[in-house]
Amino acid sequence: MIGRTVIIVHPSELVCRGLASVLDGLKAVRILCFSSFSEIRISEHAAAHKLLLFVPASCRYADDLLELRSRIGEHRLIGLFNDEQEIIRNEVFDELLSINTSGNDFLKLAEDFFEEGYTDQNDELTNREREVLRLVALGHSNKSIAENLFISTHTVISHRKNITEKLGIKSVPGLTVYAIIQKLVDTSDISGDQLL
Amino acid sequence: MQEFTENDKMVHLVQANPNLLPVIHRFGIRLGFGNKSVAEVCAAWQVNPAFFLAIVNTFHNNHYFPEEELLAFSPLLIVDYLKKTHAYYIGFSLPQIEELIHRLLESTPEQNNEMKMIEIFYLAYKKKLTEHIVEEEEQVFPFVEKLVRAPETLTDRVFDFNFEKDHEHVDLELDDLKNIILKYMVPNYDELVCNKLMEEIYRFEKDIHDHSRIEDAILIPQVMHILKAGK
Repeated sequence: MIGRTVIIVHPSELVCRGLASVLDGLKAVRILCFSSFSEIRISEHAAAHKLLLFVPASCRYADDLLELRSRIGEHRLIGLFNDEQEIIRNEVFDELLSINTSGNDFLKLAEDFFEEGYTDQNDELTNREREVLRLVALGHSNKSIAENLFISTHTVISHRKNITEKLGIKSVPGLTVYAIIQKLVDTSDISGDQLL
Repeated sequence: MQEFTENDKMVHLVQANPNLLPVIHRFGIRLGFGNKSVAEVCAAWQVNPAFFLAIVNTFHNNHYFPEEELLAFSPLLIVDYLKKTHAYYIGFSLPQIEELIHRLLESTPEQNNEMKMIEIFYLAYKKKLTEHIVEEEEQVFPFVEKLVRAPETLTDRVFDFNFEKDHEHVDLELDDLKNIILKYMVPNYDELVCNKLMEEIYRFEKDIHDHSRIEDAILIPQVMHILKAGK
């Protein structure tokens, strides 16, 4: 199995290089850059374990992309746009981001994607999972956790699934107790009825 | 799979599986079986032997659940048995586990606010379970008894109790309690108290699992059937 891969397609070399250097911090991820869509030999990447694609959001590629999506495995497609006025077919992408988005947000998004469903051998929680767990223990809903951490609710749910799998604890009260034992939250932050 | 029959000696049931003793007691049967068979002991204590065996065998074998046979018994018998298991939980299992958790936490020198959360978690669990039991005792069981004994006195024939969700929740949190203790307990504690606590939790888990199964798969369908037939 080819490992975890990021593919960046953009006509601007600056965008490609910039994004690649931002994402350089990701562990065990291969990053590939292409100036145009036609350069990618997608069959080479279809078997990638996890594929994160950044492509220009402009409509030109929409049908190609839809077709492409049907042929590759677990992936996330991010459309990059230059300005709000561009004509974009929303349904093609998982997410749309301005190329002016901060490097940190790009990195966070990529981390979340690769962390999803990724279980460590030693079952330690990742930092992101600990953060999600902390908010769960403080009584936040999935929606509120998503807003707090700038991630989608879908990603929150996936983190929660991994947390439960790693810890063997399923209920919110149970997770709260674990968070306290591990000192992720303080007992004084928890009200008694949060366990009910 | 071992399945007990009317001709087995009653004492043999307990010898084969000591966990059956509380179940036998629940039927009002007392020790001093001598060499009497299940049928004889049941007759002496006025217990329906077929029903007794269906319950005991369900309890004894994880994969045994004689749904058709159980559905054929009167809902009154089922309700009576369920009430007795409730009484056992409220009167014995729940306080027993509470006391053991308390003693376990007292036995560790690292007793602190964090570990104390295990006890608070359990107390919250116990409170929820007790509320659920009270709801069944005060609303569901009287409804069923009326429906069978004097259906004409029922003004409202609507029955919209569905406890499967509650039951799932009860199972889930008990499982969490086990995992929290097994996986995250601090290493200094009284092992004898701990052994006893875990034994009691596992026993209770099995008991309440069977209990919920009888409610969900037997009692509720029986009531639905009677209501449908009466329309």
